[in-house]
Amino acid sequence: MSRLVVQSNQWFADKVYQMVLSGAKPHEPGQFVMVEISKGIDFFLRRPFSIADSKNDRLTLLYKVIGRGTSYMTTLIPGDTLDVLEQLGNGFRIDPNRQDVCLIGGGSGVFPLLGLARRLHERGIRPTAFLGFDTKQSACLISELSRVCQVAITTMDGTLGEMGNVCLYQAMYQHSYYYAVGPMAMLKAIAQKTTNGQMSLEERMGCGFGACMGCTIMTKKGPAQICKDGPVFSAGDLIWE
Amino acid sequence: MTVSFLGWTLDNPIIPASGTFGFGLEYASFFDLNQLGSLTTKAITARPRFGNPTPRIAEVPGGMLNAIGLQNPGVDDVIEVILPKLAQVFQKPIIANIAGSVVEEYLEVIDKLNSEPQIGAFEINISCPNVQEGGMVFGTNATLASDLVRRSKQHSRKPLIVKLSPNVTNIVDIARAVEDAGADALSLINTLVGMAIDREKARPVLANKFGGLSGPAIKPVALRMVFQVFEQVSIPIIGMGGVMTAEDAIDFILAGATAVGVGSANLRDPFACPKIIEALPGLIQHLGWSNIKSMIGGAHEKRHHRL
Repeated sequence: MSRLVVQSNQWFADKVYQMVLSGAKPHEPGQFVMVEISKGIDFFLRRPFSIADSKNDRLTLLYKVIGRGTSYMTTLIPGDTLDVLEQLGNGFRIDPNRQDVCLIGGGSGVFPLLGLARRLHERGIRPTAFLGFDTKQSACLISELSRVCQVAITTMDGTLGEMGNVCLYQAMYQHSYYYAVGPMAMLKAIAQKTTNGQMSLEERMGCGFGACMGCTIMTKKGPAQICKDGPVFSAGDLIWE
Repeated sequence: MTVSFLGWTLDNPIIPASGTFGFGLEYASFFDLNQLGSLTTKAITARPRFGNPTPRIAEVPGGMLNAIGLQNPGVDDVIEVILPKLAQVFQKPIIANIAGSVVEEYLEVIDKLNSEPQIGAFEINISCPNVQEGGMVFGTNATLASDLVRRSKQHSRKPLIVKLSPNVTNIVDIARAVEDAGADALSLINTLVGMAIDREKARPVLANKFGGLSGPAIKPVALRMVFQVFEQVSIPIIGMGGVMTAEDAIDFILAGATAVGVGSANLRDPFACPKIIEALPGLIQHLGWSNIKSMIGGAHEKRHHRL
């Protein structure tokens, strides 16, 4: 547990904020943090957030403003401190011999792909990123990702890139391996085509470190905690109803 | 800081409550578990249980709802895999929480755990609100509760604590019934049944629809029940419900608790228990008491006359 200092906290895209924290430990792409957003009991549980990027002692979080908690977070200003449980979850596994990979992100699932793309780039791998957003206003990280990958975009309303759902992009199935993050419906559609990849899952969490059993899923290897055994799973281990 | 409880001496009265502390192993990476008075395991059933579908957790003002559904690997795995791991990080007697769908399941788990030397006491869970069978069904009916406790007592070679449900008309009736049936101590309270609604989707947040409410929101209810039960039974009480701070723990002791369970506070802050333990001596001194033992039940009028 660490007290991290808010360096910046600003609007990033429609309903999306970017928060940069200092004093952080290094994080692997795909790991997450649990943030105590205020000291009182108004927000009783911490909130799990994926990490857009981790460099030196800086942690960049992108968060979607959805409810009371994330609305409150937008009011934090530089110099405020936050109590954060760090280095949670397993992160993505990278095989340096696997060159032909693609990244698939839907909505806020795009956020953790930035750190992953940068790490892959450092290892000499240049993946293609397939990104799906609701609309042009909510699209983000496109310029950042374009520096380290090829980027293809879909929006549901067609205001940017191709119109439709990202998992209908046939080109992504031509890659031999994928890293996918996004809504369950998207992950399920991808898994039904091919399970040659890794998927990062989301769930409401109580603790974030494997104690409360709030985020259990059944996998082909038995019950698993998304927070502790995941959030990244081999797509072939997941069970779809 | 020491208190006598079920014939053993606790270094301090703080005990993580069942279901919020797993089997202790996750917390061992945050702090030395031996700082605790004892610890209560997650509920153990005869066979592995997966629990309920997700979402199992919802935040509410002043607390949370959970509907885990007694997920655990089953008593055999607990004995073979988990207890040996726990023995490496915690050397004091533990409290094993036991649950079942039918009386025979409770007895099967007790029989298997009887010979485990790490276990100092059993906590019979008759108050889980998140399973269809067993659990709270036993805890909301004095006849069923006392029958289960009587039969468990016949099997158990360790002291028996009974964890009571607050979802009853009169908790004193249940407390007296299980005391008469042979309970050695009581834990109260388990969670209050509640729900949350996702108004955007117009449906319950929890997949199980209902869940158990815990956290600071329930502390006044829990305190009231400990206070009431203390006056009507003579066996010791582990008081719990929304304990976040040393101040909360002292409130329960003054209401009549001998030991204090810390529950959902552990989920928000894995260091909640050691922080409370560290703050207790200073608080006791500040309040003008010489030790914790003398504070038990201190808020009762009869005690005031006695003093």
